[in-house]
Amino acid sequence: MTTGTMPRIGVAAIVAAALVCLHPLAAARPAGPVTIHVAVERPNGTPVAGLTREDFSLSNESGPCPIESVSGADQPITFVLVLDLTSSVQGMFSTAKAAVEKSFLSSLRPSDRARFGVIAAHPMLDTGFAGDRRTLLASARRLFNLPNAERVGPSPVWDAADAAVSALEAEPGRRAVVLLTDGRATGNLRSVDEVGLHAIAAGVSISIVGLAVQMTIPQTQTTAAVVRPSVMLRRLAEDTGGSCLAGCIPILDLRSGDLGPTLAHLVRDFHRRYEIRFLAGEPDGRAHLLDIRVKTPFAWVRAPRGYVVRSAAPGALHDVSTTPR
Amino acid sequence: MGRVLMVALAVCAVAAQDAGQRPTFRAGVRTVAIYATVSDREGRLVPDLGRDAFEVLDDGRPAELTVFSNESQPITMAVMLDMSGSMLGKFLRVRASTLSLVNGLQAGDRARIGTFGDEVAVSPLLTGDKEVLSRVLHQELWPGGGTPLWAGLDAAMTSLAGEGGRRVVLVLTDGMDTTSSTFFPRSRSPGALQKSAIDEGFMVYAIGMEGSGLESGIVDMAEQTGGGHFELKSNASLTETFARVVEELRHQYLLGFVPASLDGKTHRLQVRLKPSGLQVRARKNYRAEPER
Repeated sequence: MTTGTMPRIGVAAIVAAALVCLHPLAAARPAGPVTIHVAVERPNGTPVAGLTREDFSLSNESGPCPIESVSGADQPITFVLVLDLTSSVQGMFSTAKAAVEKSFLSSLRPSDRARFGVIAAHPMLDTGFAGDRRTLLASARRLFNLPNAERVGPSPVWDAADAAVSALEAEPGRRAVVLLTDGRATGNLRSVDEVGLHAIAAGVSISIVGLAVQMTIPQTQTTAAVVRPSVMLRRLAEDTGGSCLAGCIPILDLRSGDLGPTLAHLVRDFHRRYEIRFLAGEPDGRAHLLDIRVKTPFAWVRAPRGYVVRSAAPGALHDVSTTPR
Repeated sequence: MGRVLMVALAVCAVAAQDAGQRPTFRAGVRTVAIYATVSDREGRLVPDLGRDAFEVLDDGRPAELTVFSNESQPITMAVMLDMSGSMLGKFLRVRASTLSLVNGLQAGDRARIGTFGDEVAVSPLLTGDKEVLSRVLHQELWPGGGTPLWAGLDAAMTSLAGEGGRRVVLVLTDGMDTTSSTFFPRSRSPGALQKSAIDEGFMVYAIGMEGSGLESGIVDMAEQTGGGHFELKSNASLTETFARVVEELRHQYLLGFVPASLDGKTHRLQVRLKPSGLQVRARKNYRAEPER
């Protein structure tokens, strides 16, 4: 028995839900290619370089989709990094803050941009994106220095992630959300699946540095509750093509550990991704399943599990995250 | 609206009703609403009395009932679950029983789920959608921490402050408050919460679950506000207790009267029954706040 986990819905159900939620667009523009960003790795996590269009195959629920181009060229990335400041991660706060202020900032390339946010009783994003490290460091120090009263309320992890996706929606190029959280989400308007759909529709991946702790709690002589906040974190990352790192490391290891290398790895991972452009049919504004395979032996692809053809009227795609309740 | 002393909403008040009719409202008159639970000697609910069975005293003086309904009233409720360390071993029971409570909601009912432990968190979703409530119960319960009971109650009342009609806070806990004043210094004191509950017409139910027993403060608040309190012994069914609370709420009588004066004072209320052998529970006070 687990908590923090609805029965795994999976992307099929997510996409099915989206087919209901998203209305066909009234004025469709001519079909254009869809762009996604994927990581290809060996089982040990080593990136696979040098792949070309011929190495990939791609299909949606209707069949194969023609690939227009594949590029392994490094491109600037726009990040929103959101740090959980709520009381349940109190023991990790200094470590996480230091890792963000040092390793994350020093890992950014000169053309990358970033913006910081926090998970607190009222989730907040700092104003605007910046590429200058000094500006970003000042932003981090300002934002991460929250009064205690903001830390003992709810932990709206999913709402904060959703706000981060919204902030990236209008940005060009490769975009990613990085969440540092223990996943003990409370007080959310959005569900984890709604946020996943929003991210898929916006073409934004969500990666997680999980500060989660697993608990096994005896309930009777024969049953126990297993509390695993990492389950939903992993689900969000996998559905949107992100990474989930440091998921269930015991809290003592995390407290003495350095998250810096993890954050640096995440930034490198984004820069090593392939950009794939493919033709996806009419811009119907609906969510579609996406299956990407690579012909290279012993390699696997990390990619979003769906896509939406973005030719919508302004605002229409955002409907994904505002499903009527 | 700031304080909802009376079920008045500025527009409100209620024309006389016959049993079985939904109350209607006419503008310009303030009406004090009283939700009354009637049971027999065995504790069985008695839902079919008529208006004539009731007598209401306002500071000892008989008040003329201008509102009466024995129809089922929709439920608006915040369910606050104790997630503190001492509740760890009851975690699955609590979740299963609360799911059962959610599944028993009917059309027009709305609930929101909140927890207190490491954090005090109240879901912003006040809804009758069972799927949404079930999702909150599966995805937003995290055991551990102390028992900030009063901070939890404060958060629940605040979350319902903007709602009209009968507003119920149902608290499940196994013990005394341990961390409200230490970790939640902004939360109101028990005395301030009780005053607010009376002044603003909240109804508090408290369930003590196999622990050290309910705090006297919350028992008193439940009695003053016309709610109820239950102490569960070991292995007693929480599901049945939740069901009992919902059943009570469904079968409460709505009584209303127009106060003789809006003097800004707290008035003592008494609800009496003319038939013998029955017991009635209802709020014991109201505040006659002048119109602003």
